[in-house]
Amino acid sequence: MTASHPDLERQFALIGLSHWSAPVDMREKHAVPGDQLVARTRELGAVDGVDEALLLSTCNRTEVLLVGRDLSGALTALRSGIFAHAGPQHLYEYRDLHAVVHLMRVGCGLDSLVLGESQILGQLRESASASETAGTLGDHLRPLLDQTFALGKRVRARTSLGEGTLSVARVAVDIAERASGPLEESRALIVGTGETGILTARHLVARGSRDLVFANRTLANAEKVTRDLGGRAVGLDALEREIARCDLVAVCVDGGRVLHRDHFERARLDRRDAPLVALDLSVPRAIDPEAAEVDGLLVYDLDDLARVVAENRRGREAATRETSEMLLAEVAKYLARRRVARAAPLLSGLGERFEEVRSAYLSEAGVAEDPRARELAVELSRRLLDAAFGAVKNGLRGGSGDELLDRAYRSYLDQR
Amino acid sequence: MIQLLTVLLPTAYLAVLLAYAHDFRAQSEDRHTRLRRLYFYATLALHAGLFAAYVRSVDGPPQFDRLHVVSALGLTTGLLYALVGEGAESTRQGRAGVGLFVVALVFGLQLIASAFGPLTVEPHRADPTFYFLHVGTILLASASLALSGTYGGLYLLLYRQMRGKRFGPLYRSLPSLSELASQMRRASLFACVLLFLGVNGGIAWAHARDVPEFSYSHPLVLTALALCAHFALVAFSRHLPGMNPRRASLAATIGLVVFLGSLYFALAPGKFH
Repeated sequence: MTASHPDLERQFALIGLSHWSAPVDMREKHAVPGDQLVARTRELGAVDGVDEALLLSTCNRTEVLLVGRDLSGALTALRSGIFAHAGPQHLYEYRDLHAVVHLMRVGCGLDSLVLGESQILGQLRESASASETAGTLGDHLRPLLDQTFALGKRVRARTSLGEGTLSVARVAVDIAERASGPLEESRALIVGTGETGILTARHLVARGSRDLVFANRTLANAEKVTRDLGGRAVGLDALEREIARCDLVAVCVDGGRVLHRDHFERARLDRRDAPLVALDLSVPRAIDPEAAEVDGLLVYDLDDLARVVAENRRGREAATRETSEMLLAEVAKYLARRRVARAAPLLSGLGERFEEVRSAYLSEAGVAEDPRARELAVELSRRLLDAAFGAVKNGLRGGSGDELLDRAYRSYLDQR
Repeated sequence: MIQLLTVLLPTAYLAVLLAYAHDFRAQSEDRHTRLRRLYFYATLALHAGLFAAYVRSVDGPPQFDRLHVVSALGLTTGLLYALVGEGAESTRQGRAGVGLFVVALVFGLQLIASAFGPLTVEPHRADPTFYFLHVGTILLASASLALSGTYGGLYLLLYRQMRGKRFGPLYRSLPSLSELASQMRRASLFACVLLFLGVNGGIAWAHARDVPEFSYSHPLVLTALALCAHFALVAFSRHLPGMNPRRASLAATIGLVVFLGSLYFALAPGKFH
């Protein structure tokens, strides 16, 4: 399906690879170091048929956006040049309206590995700055980038895009941090070597937790985990002692109840600065539900964590829809600006013609030398021209309807 | 000037409250987040200006009406939070979630003071040095007490939310339970030490000047000493058997309610401006 649009008087083409299409070793081969960004962008601008160029290179994507009258030759050159190492399965290409939409989606963080992340906006600014230095930013890309930055800021300020984690293990770690404060200062006890428990431990380590204790029926299995993640290994007989000392207990085991109410009552939880958080990541549950009644203890099972994840997912879906609407409005605004820009030479020519006609009429009427008549005529024609040009510009900005844009956006999403 | 500031302050604090409410909902820092501190400091400066105007109007220490005390309490609480509490909190958590509630308290106190308090003050007969030391100490103690109660109340709210497995705005925007408990105890310690010094300083002055109204059974003296003991329990709750953070928070919140209640019952009705 074509993505061309009558208001884009030049061709737009975007070619690149990202974490969606290429593995990390392929992306590494195409990454452009920051100190080479200007030079490589200048090279792109020098390619036949290219009027404007932008090069975006991050750890997760390398993309080139070109504007010109005929870009087919330029794209062929790029495929065999800057993207020579990439196979067709790694590269994606977008033309015209799809390229505009894609750039704005990238700027909003809709295409990022972590939805809504804001680092991409800074990276895009660096690329824009490099293009400015290289002299490859012009009347098409400069306003497009300005609008992309404004949109990116607005999306992050007004929507909840990027809020809320979608991983049960990460939700579990968030809850632990909310109870006991910075994880660098807390101790965690992981009971069992189940997958979710180990994932929770990995998230704890990633967030700075250094004091981990792994308890398992078979000590050797717990020791195996400590070789990878650090910490200490203990047997299940040490559970009560370790519970009394830790800030977080995560239980991920098979086969029945491991922790009962009295385990926690004997741990003297009333002596603590913050409640003990107990995460039951087992199916069937390994923590006796009656334990939740113990003062100073917060117990969460997989259902509780899944509810948080589901709520976060709903929030993100709503934010993504809201962001898409804002994005479409911004693209429509860009197209309107292109329409007005295209009409500018015509309007300017019309203004000159009006002046010629006015001067000729004043001469015919024999009042060309009368200062008062001249002043009235100039003022009248200026006001009439302003009113006429204002109406024309408003009409141009109003546009030719949203259908073409909606179709192009849907076809862009279908391609992904 | 006094009348202008009295009328302006509640509006100014309301603007600060709205800025903090925006930040409470916001995910990331934006222009409003960065400006809210500026709004807050500027409003506190205006508030301090009101008291400077009172002092200037009588050329010395003024005799405050109880509603002036309410206003002074709001100012001192705001200052203490802005200078100490908020800085510590923002560094750890990235946002001043508690600020919304502190500013709401300050706004409420100033609204009452502006609505019902008198616009004039009389000169106080006390020695100025003693006056400012005694009043300053008591005000700082009261502000610490107010902050302790606020932290305690927020601990209870957040604990209840987490125990009920609800993860709404409070969960997202407040510091951790551990941080709230720690700040509460710190503020309580500050409150009970200063209250002890302030009350005893006042008693010593009353004896030295043979002040006829003074009595150990005076309600204000008894309340102050009782609050001092109460908040000492909160401050040292970590070392007391059976006093877990939840119970300590409950005690701090009750202490704040009792303190505000004692101010309320001492209020004299005034004209609405």
